Amino acid sequence: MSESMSRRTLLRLMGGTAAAAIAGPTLSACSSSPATSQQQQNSGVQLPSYIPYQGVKPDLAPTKDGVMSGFLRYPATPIVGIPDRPGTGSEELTAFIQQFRPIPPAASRNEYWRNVNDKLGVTLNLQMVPSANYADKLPTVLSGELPDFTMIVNTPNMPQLLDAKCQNLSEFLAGDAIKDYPMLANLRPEAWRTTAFNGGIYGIPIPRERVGVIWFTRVDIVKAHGLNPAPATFAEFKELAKGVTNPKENRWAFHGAPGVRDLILRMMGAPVGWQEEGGKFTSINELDQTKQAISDTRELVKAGYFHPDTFTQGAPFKDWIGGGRVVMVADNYSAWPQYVTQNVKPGSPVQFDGMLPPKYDASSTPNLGRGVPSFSTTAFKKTDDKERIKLMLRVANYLAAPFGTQEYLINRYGKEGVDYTMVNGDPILTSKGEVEHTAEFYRIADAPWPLYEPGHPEETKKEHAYQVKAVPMTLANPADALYSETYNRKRNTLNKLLDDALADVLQGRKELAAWDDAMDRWRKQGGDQVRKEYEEAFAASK
Amino acid sequence: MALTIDKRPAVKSAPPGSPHSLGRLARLKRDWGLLVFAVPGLLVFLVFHYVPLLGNVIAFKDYQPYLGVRQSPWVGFSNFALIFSGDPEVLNALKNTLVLTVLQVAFVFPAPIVLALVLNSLMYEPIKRFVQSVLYMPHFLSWVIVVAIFQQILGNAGLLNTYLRHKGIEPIEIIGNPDAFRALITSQVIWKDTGWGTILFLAALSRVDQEQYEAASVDGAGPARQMWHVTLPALRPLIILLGILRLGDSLSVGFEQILLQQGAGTEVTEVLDTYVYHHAFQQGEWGISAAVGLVKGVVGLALVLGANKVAHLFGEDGVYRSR
Repeated sequence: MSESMSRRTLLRLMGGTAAAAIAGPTLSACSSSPATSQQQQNSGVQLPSYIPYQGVKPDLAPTKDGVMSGFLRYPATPIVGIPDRPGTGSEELTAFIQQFRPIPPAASRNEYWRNVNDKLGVTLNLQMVPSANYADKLPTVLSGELPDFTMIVNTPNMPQLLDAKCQNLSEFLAGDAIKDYPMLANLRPEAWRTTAFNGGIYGIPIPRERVGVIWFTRVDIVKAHGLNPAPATFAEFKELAKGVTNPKENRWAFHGAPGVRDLILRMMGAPVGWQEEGGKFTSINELDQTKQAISDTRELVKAGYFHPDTFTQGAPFKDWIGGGRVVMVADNYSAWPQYVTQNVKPGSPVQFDGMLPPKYDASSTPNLGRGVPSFSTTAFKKTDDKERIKLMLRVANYLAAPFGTQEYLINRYGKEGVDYTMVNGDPILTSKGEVEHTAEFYRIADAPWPLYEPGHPEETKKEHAYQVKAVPMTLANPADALYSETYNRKRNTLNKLLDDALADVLQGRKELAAWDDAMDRWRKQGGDQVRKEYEEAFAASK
Repeated sequence: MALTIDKRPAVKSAPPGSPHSLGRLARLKRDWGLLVFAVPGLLVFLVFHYVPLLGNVIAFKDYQPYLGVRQSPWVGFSNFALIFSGDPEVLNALKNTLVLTVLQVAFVFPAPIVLALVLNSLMYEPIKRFVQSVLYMPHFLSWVIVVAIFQQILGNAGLLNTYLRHKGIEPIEIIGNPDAFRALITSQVIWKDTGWGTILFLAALSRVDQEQYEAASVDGAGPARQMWHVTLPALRPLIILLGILRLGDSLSVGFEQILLQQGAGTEVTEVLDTYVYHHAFQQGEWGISAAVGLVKGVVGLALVLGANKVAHLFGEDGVYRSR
C-alpha cells in the first residue's frame, strides 16, 4: 500500500473539501502568540542552500518548473555517492515512523535491514506504527521521551511541540552549512520551507513533487467505447462519464465525488486553497465557483456515474480501477508505479494515463493544484551533543541518496543477489526482498522522487509526457508559505465541518443551501480568524 | 497452601439481607485464605482500572501531549462549558447515543432471552449443540470483519443490490443511508452477539428444577403458563443483573462498529464515543474530550447505582447488596 492511501490523502480525495483546498501549508508554521511575529520569524529563517546533485544523469530531463527526472532503466554502473560510512558501527539510533506497508521482519531476521545498518555503521531501531494507527500513537510518543528521529505528519501545535522537545538544526544546515550533507542539499527550498518553525530549521522534510493529484484514467476502457480519453470541454467530459457507465456490467465512471468537485474547480481555473487579491484572502470554499462545482458534481452523482459504494469509508478504489469497476479516480502521482506493477502486464489490455482538466466553458483556463512540497517532517530529539546531531544528519544524508546511486539500491532494494537481482538493467526484488524491503527507512529522509517504472520504460515516458503538460499548469496555494495559529490548531475541526457538509450535499441528503450554512459555521468557528491571520502574515512577509 | 475453611461455603456465610452474626475480625480470620486469592484480581483492577482514572485530571487542563500531564496548564471547568452550554455537536452526539441505547435496550437486550428459550425447547441434543455453535461464531469476528460482511451483502455494490440491478430493479440503499443507519447498527449487534448472549441464560435455564415443571403440569399448566410461572421467574435475577449492568454501559453504543460506518453522515452517526475520539485523537482537543468522557462515566455510574437501588426496592439482589 502506498502513502497515496494515507490519512491525509484520503481526506483530500474522499473527504475532500477543506483538506484539498487548504492542503498546502501542512507543516509550514511557527511559534507562539502574535501571528505576525512568527511569520517574520519564519520568513527570516535562512534555509539550506539548494545544490542539485549532479552525479546521476537522467534519461528524461527534469525542468525548472518541477517536472521530475525520468529513468528508463537503472543506471548501468551506479556511482558511490557517499564514500564515508556515517557511523563507526557502535552507535544506535531510534526512529518512530509511520508504516504504509506490512511491518517487515525484525532486523535479526532481516538481511536487508542488517545490510543497511552495516552500511550506515549505525544500528537503526525502527518503531513502526501502521499508518491507520499513527494519529493515535503519535501523542503517546510525544508525551514520553522522544526517539532520535520522529516522523511528524500534520499534528496540532507543531511550533510549540517542536520548541519543547526537538532540536533546532539551523546551526548545522542553514545556508552553506548544508554542504556537509550533499544529499540533503539536493532537496528543494520549498520542501525545507515547511520545516521552518520558531525562527529555525526544525527537521528534515520528506520531499514530494509538484505534480500532485492526477486523474488516473483507464484509457483502454474509454477507447473501447469509442470515446475520447482527453475531453476538451466539460460537456465532452460528461459524455465520457455517461458513455462508460454501465451498472449492468458493474462499471461506473468515477470514484470519489469530492475529487470530482475539485476537478471541476480546476476546469474553471479557480484559485487553489485561498484567493489572494491585494492582501485580502478568500477561501475558495466561499467562492461561487465552489458552489457551482458542488452543484455540478451533485448532478453527476444523481445521474449515477459514481460507483455505488464510493461514499463508504476506505473504499478499495485502487482495486476498482484496476479491475475496471471504475474508469477514473483521483490519486496521488506516487500511486502511478503501483497501478502499473499491479495491472499492466503482458497480454493485458489495461492502460492508464493521467487526464488533464478540460475547459469548463469557452472562457476558462484550466489549472491544477500543486502537490505539497513535503510529506512529513523528521524531527530530531533535543540534545546538547553536537556530535550526535551530526551523526544523525550523516545518517539522514545517506538515506536521502538519490536514484541512480549505489546507496539508493541499498536503501530501497537491499542486498544484490539476496533481496534483488538485476534483470535487463532493472533491480527486481526476490521473494525474500519483497518481504524484507518494507522497512521504510525513507520515512526518515528521502531523495527527490524519480520517474521510474522497472521493466516498463514506455510507462515512464508516458508519465514524463503527462508531467511536461501538467506541471506548468500547477498553481500553489498562496497560504502555503503563511502561518496561522488558529489553522494550525483547528485544522481538523474546520476541515471536518466542511467535509461532513460536502458529503451531505453531494449525496443528496441536504440541499445546496446546507453548504452556505456550513460556511457560516466555518467562518464563526475559526475560518474568519484564519483569514485574518493569513492576511496579517501576508502583510508581515512582504 | 493449606486452607481451613468453615464447613459452610464462606461466601454464603450470611443469608441475603440478614444481619451478620460474626464481627469484622472474626470474618477476616475465617476468610483470609479467600481474600489472598482475590489479591491478584484486585491488583489488576487497581492498576488497569483505578489508576488510569487519575488520567481524568486532563479534563481540567489544556492538555498537550508534548507537555505531559504535569506541565499542561490548568483551565478549571472551561472544558465542561462546551457540554453544558448546549453545543449542537455535543447535543447531537448525545441524542444519537440515547436513541441507539433505547433501540438496543428494546431489541438487543431481549434477543438472547428469547433465543435461549427457543434453544432450550429444542429436545434433540446434537442439533441443539450444532445450532448453538453456529450462533456463537459471529461473536468471535471483529467488527471490521462484520462490517465488511454486511457491506459485501447489503452494500450498494453488494450481493443484493448487484442482483437487483441486473434484474433491472431499483437498488435499495441500506449502507450509507442515514435513514437506515440505526436499524443497520442494531441488527448488526443482534447478528453478532445474540448467540453469545444466550450462554448465561441457558446456564440459568439448566438449573431450573425439573420437578417444578412436573408440578406445574400436574396442576394443569400448559407450556405458556409454565413459561410464565416457572421459567421466567427462574431467569428474573439474571435478567435484572444484566439489565443493570447494561444501563451502566448505556452511553457506550459500539465505538468501533460506528466509527467504521460513519459514511452515512455525522448527523445520525456521531455518538459520544466517536465524538471523543475525533476531538481528542484527530483534532487534539484532549481536554474537551476527556471532559465529555468523564461526564459520560459519571452518568453511567449514577445509572448503575440508581438501578441497583430500584432493584433493592423490588426485593431483588441486583448487582450487589451492602450488608
